[in-house]
Amino acid sequence: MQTAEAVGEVVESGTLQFTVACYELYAAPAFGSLVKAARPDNGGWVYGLVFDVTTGSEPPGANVSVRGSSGLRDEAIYRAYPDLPEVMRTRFAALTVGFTDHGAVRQYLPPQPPRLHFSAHVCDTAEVCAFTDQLGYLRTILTNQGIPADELAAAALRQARACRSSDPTFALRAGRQLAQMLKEEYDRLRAILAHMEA
Amino acid sequence: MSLDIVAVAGQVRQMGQDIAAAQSDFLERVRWARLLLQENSLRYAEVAGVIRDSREARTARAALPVNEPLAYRQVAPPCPLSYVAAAADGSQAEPDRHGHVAYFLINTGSALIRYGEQPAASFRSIPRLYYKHEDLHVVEQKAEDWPANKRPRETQVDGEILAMKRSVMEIQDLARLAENIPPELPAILIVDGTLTLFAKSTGEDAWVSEVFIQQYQAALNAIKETRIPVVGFISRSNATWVMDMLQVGVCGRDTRRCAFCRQRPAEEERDGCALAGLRDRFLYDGTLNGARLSLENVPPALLPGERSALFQLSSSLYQDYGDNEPRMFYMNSGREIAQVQVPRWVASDKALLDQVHALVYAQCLNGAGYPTVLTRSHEQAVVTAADREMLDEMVLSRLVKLGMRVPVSEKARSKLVRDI
Repeated sequence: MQTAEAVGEVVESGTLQFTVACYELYAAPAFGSLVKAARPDNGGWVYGLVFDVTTGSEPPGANVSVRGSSGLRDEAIYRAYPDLPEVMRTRFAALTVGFTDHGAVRQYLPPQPPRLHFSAHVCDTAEVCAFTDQLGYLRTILTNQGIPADELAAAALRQARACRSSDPTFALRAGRQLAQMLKEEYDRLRAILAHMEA
Repeated sequence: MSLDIVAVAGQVRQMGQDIAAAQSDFLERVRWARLLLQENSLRYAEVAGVIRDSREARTARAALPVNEPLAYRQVAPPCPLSYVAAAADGSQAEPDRHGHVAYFLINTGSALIRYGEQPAASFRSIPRLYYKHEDLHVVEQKAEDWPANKRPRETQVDGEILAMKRSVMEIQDLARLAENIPPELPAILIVDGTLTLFAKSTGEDAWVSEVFIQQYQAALNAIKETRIPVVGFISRSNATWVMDMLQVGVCGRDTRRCAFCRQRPAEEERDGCALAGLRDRFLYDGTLNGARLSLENVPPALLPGERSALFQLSSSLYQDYGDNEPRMFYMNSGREIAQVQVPRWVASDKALLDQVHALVYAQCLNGAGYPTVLTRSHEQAVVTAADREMLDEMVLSRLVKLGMRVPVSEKARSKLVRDI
């Protein structure tokens, strides 16, 4: 399977999540997208779900001052200050939701996180379908308290459903899986199901 | 022991009181200086002659009027729709005599920004590590008329020499940047600080400065070949060139003849010319010490974008610079009074001088009072204390891996661990 062109480089790496600095400003994958970065050990991939996209100074820490004025707004600001893209960076954080092990998809935490400075790629339709055939990764999302879990679950399921236009049963399977995981959190379940609708 | 801030607090209080008490006298002296500038404005040729003929001609650091009245002011010309600004800056990690190994680092940063049609920007940072004997020492350059048995002098690179080396590398980087600028676009090259090499080595050590001055001038000449104006930008200059011009060329430092100085109280600390110690920027700054300075019948300060008259910097230090001999003017950057230096070949071309004025002010507008391209080049060049520490550890780690023993001096060791 040919790998799509890299969108960025891993700049923080841990077992639970990894952060990618994008090569192009404002070109991060959408919230909820499935991304991958190479495993350091056996040639497979670590999968993550994009849960936070930020744009700020490069290196981090600089103030963002107001550049606009009457007659200078939006895109015109970037034309008037061509140095801005060179001192800014878009980053995204991905929640680790699985990995491949000799070709087989595993939906639990990998033995090793991705390596720093290795490329990160957006998974294509076939990869998303293959990964989301199992729904165990939803538990990783829903039990995580440091991220917008419900929104992420809904966004990931929207993406998975979009890859399966010919499978009308996916939404039902996903709904049942969510109901089983959130059987004592009815309000949460309802909200996620509502946001699952594209 | 850390600073005893309580002990200092009382001195700070006294300092504030003394400064506040001197404020009234200070403002009167500034008023007098502005009056002198205005009243003698059209005598610029005569003032220049007096300075050139004075006993201080060779040693004075007085501004020489070029061809504009002393109180001349000019509004910034319109900025072209498209232009290129480039800057180079440098930073250094100095040799640490007490460190593990003798080395130093020079990090040069450059920025090139294109405005208008096809806006673009490119930045670059180049670190260079020096550790070989020939890097850590400056060797005198052999002259053609040397006797056969004369050996060149040699001296170790210290902070002052490192600063000269860094300045040379900045201007060389700027010369390389100039080659990448499309010739059809108006452009400007900017360095932070003076356009001349600040060389303190004098007397027996003058040969050290000579080594670097030649390299510096070669780079300036390479820039001159491109016909792209090069500028030294000095933020909030503390220079006294124009004040010295008034003292030497107008009142001759003769307090007995001066109406203002004669009426000042003859207190010990006020003996001497009233202009002594005043900075040039006070002549042009409309807001001094936070209070708007309102003066009747004196020229108003420079408005944002306006520049002062053009002056030559008369000093024997610059006599060998030829066409790169510095000229300067003051300009209101929108936030402060900055000194802008240009080489003689730029100053003598009105179109180029106006281009400098327009583009420097445009850069200051873009950068909220300081040229954006200088800010970006500085960001590329900066070496923080943390960077230096990381570099030291990297060097130590590498040498230890190679099986080398690299102790620090006892002085350095005593600073690492505090014993009681």
